[in-house]
Amino acid sequence: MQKIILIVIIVVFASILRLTNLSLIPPKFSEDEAAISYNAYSVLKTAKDEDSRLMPVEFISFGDYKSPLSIYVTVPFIGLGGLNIDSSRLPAALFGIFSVMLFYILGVKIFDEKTGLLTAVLATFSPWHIQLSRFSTPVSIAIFLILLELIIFYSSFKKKFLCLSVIQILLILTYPGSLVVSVPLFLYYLFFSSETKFSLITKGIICLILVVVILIQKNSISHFYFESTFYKDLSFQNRINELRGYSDSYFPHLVGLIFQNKIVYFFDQLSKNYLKSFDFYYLFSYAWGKDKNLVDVMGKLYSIELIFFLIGLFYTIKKNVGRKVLLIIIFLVSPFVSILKLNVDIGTSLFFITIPFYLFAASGFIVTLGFLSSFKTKIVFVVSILAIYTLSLIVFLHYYFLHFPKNGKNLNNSIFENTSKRAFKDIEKYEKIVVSDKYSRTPYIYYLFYNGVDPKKYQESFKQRSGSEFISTTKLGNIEFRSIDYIKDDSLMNVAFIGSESDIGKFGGSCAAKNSCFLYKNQIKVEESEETFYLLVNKK
Amino acid sequence: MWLNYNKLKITLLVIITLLAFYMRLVDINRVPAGFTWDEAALGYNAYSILNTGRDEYGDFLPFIFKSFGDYKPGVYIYLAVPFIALFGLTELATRLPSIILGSLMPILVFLISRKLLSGKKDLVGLVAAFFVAFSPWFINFSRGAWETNISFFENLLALYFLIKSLENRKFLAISAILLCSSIFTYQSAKLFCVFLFSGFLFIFNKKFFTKKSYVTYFSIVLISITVLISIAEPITRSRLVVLSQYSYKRSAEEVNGIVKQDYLIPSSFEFSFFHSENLSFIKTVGSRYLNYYNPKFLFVSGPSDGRQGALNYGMMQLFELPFLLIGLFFLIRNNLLDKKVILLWLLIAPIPAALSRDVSNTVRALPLAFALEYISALGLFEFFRLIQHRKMVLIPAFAVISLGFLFSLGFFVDRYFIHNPIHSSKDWLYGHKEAISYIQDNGYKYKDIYFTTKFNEPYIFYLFYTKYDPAKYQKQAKLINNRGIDVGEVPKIDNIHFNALYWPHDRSQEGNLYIGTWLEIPDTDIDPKESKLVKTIKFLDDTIAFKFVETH
Repeated sequence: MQKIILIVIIVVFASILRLTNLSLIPPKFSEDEAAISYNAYSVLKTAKDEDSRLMPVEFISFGDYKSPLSIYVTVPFIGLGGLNIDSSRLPAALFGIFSVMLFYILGVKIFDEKTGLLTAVLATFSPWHIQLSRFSTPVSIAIFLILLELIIFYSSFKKKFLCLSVIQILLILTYPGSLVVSVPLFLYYLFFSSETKFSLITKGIICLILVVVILIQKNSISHFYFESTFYKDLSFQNRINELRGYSDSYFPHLVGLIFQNKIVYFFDQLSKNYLKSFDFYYLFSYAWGKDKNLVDVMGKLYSIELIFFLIGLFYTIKKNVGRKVLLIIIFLVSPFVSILKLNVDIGTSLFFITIPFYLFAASGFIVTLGFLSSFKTKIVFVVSILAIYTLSLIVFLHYYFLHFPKNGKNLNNSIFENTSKRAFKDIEKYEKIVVSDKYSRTPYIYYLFYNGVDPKKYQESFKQRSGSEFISTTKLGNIEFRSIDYIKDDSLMNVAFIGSESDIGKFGGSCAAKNSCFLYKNQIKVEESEETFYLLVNKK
Repeated sequence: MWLNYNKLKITLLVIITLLAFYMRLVDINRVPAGFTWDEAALGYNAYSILNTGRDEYGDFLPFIFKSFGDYKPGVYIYLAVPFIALFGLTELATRLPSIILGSLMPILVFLISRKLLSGKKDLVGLVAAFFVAFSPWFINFSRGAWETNISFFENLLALYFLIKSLENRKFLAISAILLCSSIFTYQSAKLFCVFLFSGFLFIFNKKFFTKKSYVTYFSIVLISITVLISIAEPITRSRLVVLSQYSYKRSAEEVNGIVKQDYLIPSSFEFSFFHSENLSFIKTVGSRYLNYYNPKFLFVSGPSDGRQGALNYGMMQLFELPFLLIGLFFLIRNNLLDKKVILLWLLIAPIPAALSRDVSNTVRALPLAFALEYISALGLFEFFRLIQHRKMVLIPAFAVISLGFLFSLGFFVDRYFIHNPIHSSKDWLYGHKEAISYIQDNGYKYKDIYFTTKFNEPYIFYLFYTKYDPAKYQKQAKLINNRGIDVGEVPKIDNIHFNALYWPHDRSQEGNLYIGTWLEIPDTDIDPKESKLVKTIKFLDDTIAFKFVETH
């Protein structure tokens, strides 16, 4: 009974932290989130995605192949709650809450009851887990599935194998990044575990099915792993040549050939990317500039947890590793997710590392508690650790819920929403509407999302799609999504321009002063900076 | 075992030491790419002591040298005196104390590991000595006149006697004396020495605090007094303040930004709770401390400053990484003496560096290198012990590891000896020697010579490279306070002025020579009617270091 009450309390806390003000924090509703929601909306209304493909297992979206599972999971939420930010973020938040429960079960399976509870507590209040549960991302679902896979792996029941296979397939459909953790686990179970007693043919068929699913998702997987990799960076051959030139001036040419070549460069980059993932600075103190959805002045984990993680790991190694070796392996393979990337974004890709981290940290705490002999010292220990932990938590919450939404860098895009809604209200009045692509590389998706454009109408209407890095709709009916060049665009009459300070601000003011155009200014001021959106129409 | 293989081991150790000496001496005139002010100051003060018994300011045999106003501890300078007496005032002679003691470190590491493993696994010691001989971190600081290297040597020796004192308590006194000497060798050694000594006493308190533990008390008193003296001296204290992280607070803008977002006033409780200076201090120090264990820093990217190691190459060799992990695993598992001692060393080594102002500073964190190399050596040893009975694995593994080592070493040599000098020649103040030699040859032609202070403290290079008579200099030595940086500067020696150039004014002065950076004397502003570019000196990466312009 006591146990259930504790779990309920944990879940309540987890829910509060993951559901409060969901639509406002994180402040930026990203293009990816909008695309996932709009595709879900499109599936809901027409059973087709934005590219008019019937119930696809592959969503091309911006050419980055969005996770099919997270789109399908979002469908019922959009159906119930309508097309808005809340319903788009709710699935991730709910999976985050479920994950907390799974952390508990896994802790119990691998360690013991107390460790399980503590693991769930750590996950509940984890800055990393909270932040990655609060926006629409497949990672939140993937961590849930991986936890589930681990739990099944550590338990024994009749249909275990079937469950593992299903989860494996779901993971492929959710987040290609999860494969580095889940596939080795699954293959180990299939071929090396003493539990599986299938014939080689059965095993072969299962592998075949997996390969087929992977092939179906091959675009998504290859995009995930091989897009924007460091070896596609063209400057590296020049760099090698330059280094070789220096070597040649001191050593025979052969030395330069041995130490400055593509293989060495490749290996050097791989090791840099791998080791970068264990950068304490970014794990415990600051976030990367790239991780837009994370608070940058805080780490992803609390420093106090590191001590207990090390104790837990230390103790496990010292006593008996056994099946816990799997956790160590997960810890070591997690960085492989983004090892080929030019810019490593550990904020999302390294997230699986939290599984071993929290489990060991919790066990480390319990072990340390066990070492203390008298009741008094135990109380002092628990109270002091609790005080430090609470302080870290409060500081994080303060930064995340108070400073994060106010920071200029993360400006809310409701401003874009307001401006564009005003223009699209009288869309018939204008000959053409030009939306700047400075604010976002794929502005059309915001137009579709914020204006709730009927998917059927969108699929049928005339459109142009192009882009090298990102596929974006550049023309849709009489709306154009492009950069605004006022020297050329000055002569266009009865055209509404929507853009930001850098597009329209400069000349908008002067033409409004001359009374040659109509300028509507939509401004949001936050403390550090301000963002203005303009709607400009040239007068005849 | 020791008796049978005694000779072999000694031979191997001698070979390793010779290799270490070679790695620390080879091409020393070209790598590092230059000679820093601190090195020049150490060398010149030793020269001054040798000739006059006084430092550059005329103080008789001082304990602490005023130098640039940074108050250098004297041990290095006195160590350099005999070498300068033998070889004259040269760069090599100044660096020799560091080179020689650095080359002896492998022996010391071998002895320490022998003591730690109570003479059982001598192979670990040999491997550790070998790793130390080729460690980028060790090599870099043994190739320059670094006080930290001498202090590190003393710390290692002190550790040896600390371990010995577990058998015979008398050695504790020797160890305490060595630690005191280390404190007088390098400013940042204080904290490390105190932590090492007190940590050791704490861990092995049962051995040291029994009846009649006079030696223990004597050692504690000795170290306390030394630390108190070194802190109490107002001049060194001021240096401590300059270097400590706590003296560098957040900027007013940063604090204002926080205040605005929070709608709080800085004196309110909430502000002091969430954004106090103390909290930000703890956070900064904590993250800096962790920074030193960053695998990326240790194995691939290395230091941010070309003087502190090979750029784009870690502080250790990448092939050691798996053995570091294996070593850590076995260090924890085996219940030997090395567990406590090495873990203690590993954990306290970055503390002084974490408390100082730089984000990562391999100079102050140098002691960390020992613990890491020892653990890697242990890892390699344990790895081979695991596979020793599987011949099918043993030979390929040996081959792969040897190749890995050779490649790593080759890569290091390429990066450190070829590319690093090119990219770090500016950090190493390349060009000063050439500039001074030009002044020496052509200085007589000019009324006054003006030398830029853009690279700080040019006067010491003038004194060093011209072997300026110390007695003559002591009479005119004068240090003015410079507000911008933490040390003072000397404005003038004879007719050579050391100050920042201001070309719009300087160009109209007749008969002078101006030596400045390309920013101070832009090409377009050299008017043939009034001035002439007579020489340029370039850094090794082909950017301009100095321009020599005469006015007529």
